[in-house]
Amino acid sequence: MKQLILTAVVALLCLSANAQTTYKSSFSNGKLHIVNVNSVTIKGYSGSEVIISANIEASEKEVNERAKGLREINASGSTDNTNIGLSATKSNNELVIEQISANNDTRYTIQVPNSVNIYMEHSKLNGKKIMLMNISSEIEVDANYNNIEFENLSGSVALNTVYGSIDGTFESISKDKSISLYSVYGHVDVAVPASAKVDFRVKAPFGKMFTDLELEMPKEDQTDYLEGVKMTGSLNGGGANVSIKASYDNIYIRKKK
Amino acid sequence: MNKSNNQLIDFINEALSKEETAQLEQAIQQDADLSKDLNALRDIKAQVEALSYIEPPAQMDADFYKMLNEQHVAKPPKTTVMYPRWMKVAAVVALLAMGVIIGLQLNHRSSQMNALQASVMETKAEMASLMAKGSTSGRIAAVNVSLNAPKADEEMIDILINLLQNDQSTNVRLNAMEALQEIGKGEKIKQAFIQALKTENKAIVQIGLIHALVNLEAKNALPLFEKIIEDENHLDRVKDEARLGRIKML
Repeated sequence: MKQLILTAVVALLCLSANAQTTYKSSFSNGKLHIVNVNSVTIKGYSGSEVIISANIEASEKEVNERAKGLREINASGSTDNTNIGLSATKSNNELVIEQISANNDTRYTIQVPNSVNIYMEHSKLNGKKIMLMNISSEIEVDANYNNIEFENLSGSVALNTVYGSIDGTFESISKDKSISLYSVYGHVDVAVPASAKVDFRVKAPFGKMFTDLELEMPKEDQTDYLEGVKMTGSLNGGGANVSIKASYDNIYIRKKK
Repeated sequence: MNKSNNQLIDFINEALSKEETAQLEQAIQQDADLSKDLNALRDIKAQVEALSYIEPPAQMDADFYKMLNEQHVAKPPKTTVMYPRWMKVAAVVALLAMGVIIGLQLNHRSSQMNALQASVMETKAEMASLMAKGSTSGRIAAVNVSLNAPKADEEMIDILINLLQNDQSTNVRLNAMEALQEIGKGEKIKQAFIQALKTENKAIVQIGLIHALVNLEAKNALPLFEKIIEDENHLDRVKDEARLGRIKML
């Protein structure tokens, strides 16, 4: 019984320590530009507002007595106008969301209307996981240290990260969409439906490629790298263009289960 | 071929007198072999006439007169050989047939060239249409289209170089860089990569360009590599790649 009470008390303390706060902005047409948000989940949904939830760590809530009466400002001159550690500015069909403090460990969840295209860039050292879910619009990510994960993307996709890896599953791949996945020092691991019609263009100059798909290879000889693998191959007669490169690591292309 | 066969050729060409024509018609009716020869010659003539006439290219005239001049300079010893008439006729038929065959081949090659050119034009039109969409995905799709083209022409290469050096999207620049490594060749591509590396500010593209220049053995990129190694603004990893590239190319 004592154990049960103790667990309940700890749970209540945790709830009060990590506060959930939300910011909303009416935005249903144009591009959402996310800048240097360290840890984020981006979800598509059928609404007309960009909704940002912040799971703020207790340490982030500590009041800096010395900064009382002052405002935090970052290198681009942005300040927190959302009360959740982010700056939000809207102009010319673009909503820019920028994290103010590079050391902020808050995990953000951003819900984005399906009609809004998404561009995320992260150039700081503190990049953590970027999770992309249920997005049917165009998504582009440009990162340095972040690992990128995704599930259920159905629009055009262009992701790159220097040090991170890319892992994800496509529920479907339309012929008119282009997909580009690019990492220098991390792996790329993707699952695609066995019935998808895809033309793969794969490069792993210093890595290997693994698959359980039946890819049709072109009849002519392919020019390979001296150490790694470079190939083109079609699935089910080909269709959508999917380009994948992992410069120093492996590429895994598997059947979606 | 005997004298009657020579007459058959003249007969087909309507070069006999009325009397000769009447005599030969009578002979044909009485001689089955002669009738067979006549039909065979008529078939040959019909086949030759069925071939379309092709206007030879202007360069062929120039080459022909050049060859004539060379022959004139060589001045081979003049000899006169008398050939039987049937051989002259056969030679003319053979020459005519050869001319037509060469013409047909030229025409076929020209058709192939036109088809290739049309395909390249179609590719460029599709690229322009995709780029006009104004989206990142459209421009990446345009790059993909260029990779599927049967042949890359200079204009297509220039479009890719422009995307590599000026596009605002890192992902478009990456894709253009990869495409140029596939379909671009020579000093032009090396210079394009060097220019791109001078202005590029994203580490992922910088590393890709260094790799590409090393693969192309572009030794004229070495001074730029030195500059990157010394520059504080470049990421350590980019400097490491430049150092590695320098070692590989030395």
